[in-house]
Amino acid sequence: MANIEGVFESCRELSSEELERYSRQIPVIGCEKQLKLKESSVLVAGVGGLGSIILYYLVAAGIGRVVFIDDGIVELSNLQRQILFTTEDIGKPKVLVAENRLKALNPHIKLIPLQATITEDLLEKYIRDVDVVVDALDNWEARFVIDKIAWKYWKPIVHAGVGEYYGQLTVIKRGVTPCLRCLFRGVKSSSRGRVTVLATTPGILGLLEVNEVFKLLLGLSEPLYNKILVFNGKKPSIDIVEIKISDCSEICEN
Amino acid sequence: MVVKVRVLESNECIELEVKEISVREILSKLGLTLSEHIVLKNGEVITEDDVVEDGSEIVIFTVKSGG
Ligand SMILES: [Zn+2]
Repeated sequence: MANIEGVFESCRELSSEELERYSRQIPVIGCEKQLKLKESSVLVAGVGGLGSIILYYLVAAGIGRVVFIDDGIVELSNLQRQILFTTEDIGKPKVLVAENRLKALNPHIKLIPLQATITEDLLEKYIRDVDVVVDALDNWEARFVIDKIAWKYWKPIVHAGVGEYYGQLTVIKRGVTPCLRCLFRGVKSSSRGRVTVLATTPGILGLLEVNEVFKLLLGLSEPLYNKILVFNGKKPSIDIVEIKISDCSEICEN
Repeated sequence: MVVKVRVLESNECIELEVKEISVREILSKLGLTLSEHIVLKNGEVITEDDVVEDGSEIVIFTVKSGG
């Protein structure tokens, strides 16, 4: 520990336990950025296939405060891809199981589990205090609710959706990109269906979402603004499609 | 008189010999569902009733809703 403290002399705000914990990351991003992660707050909407992997990595990497929302309970059919849960957790509320597992992973993180459905009222309470909103939802109705409230408070949304071997990823930010609703206006806001997906697809897309969160928080490079990353796990291939900004202010200001 | 269509999912480039065609007709010709695909015309998102004229470059990709 003493050695590591010596190496990271400028990291006075981090404890020696934290310096050791993040000692393979601090040489890459630097002390200031590690502190920036600690001072950051991220909201994850949905604790499923995407949410599981997103929460694991946000918490492991040292994001200071993580709010996560899901109203579901752990089901047997979740376990093929939702890596936060085990067979013993079946029947328990997802967010509470997640909280215990994440606390054991990294006790430095302030966890705010919310066992609730996504509503405007709920988001009004929590979105103001976060830096980034991560969409790990499984339906468009709830996505358009986070879209509306995040837009209102000028918070960026990292969006992904998955199914079978495929997924897409983009970053929405008021003033820079169209809103999610305008971007995906051809998509029907159908009710929640049964997700059928290869286990790895949400894992890969979830990690790409976390990578965008780090880019946003740390200013590493331009986030996926006005670009949609399209993943095809069968090949695998990643295409990045550029979107021309269409004026969506009339719809979004509502 | 062609509309060039690129489908990312299958990585196919298709040339439709038409003067103009609606998005709905393109998707139907290719056997793709309306609700799960985004269609771009020269980079802009267009929807089912929009009409594509000859000379346009179209990109179609799958959008998934699961999490
Ligand atoms: Zn809009």
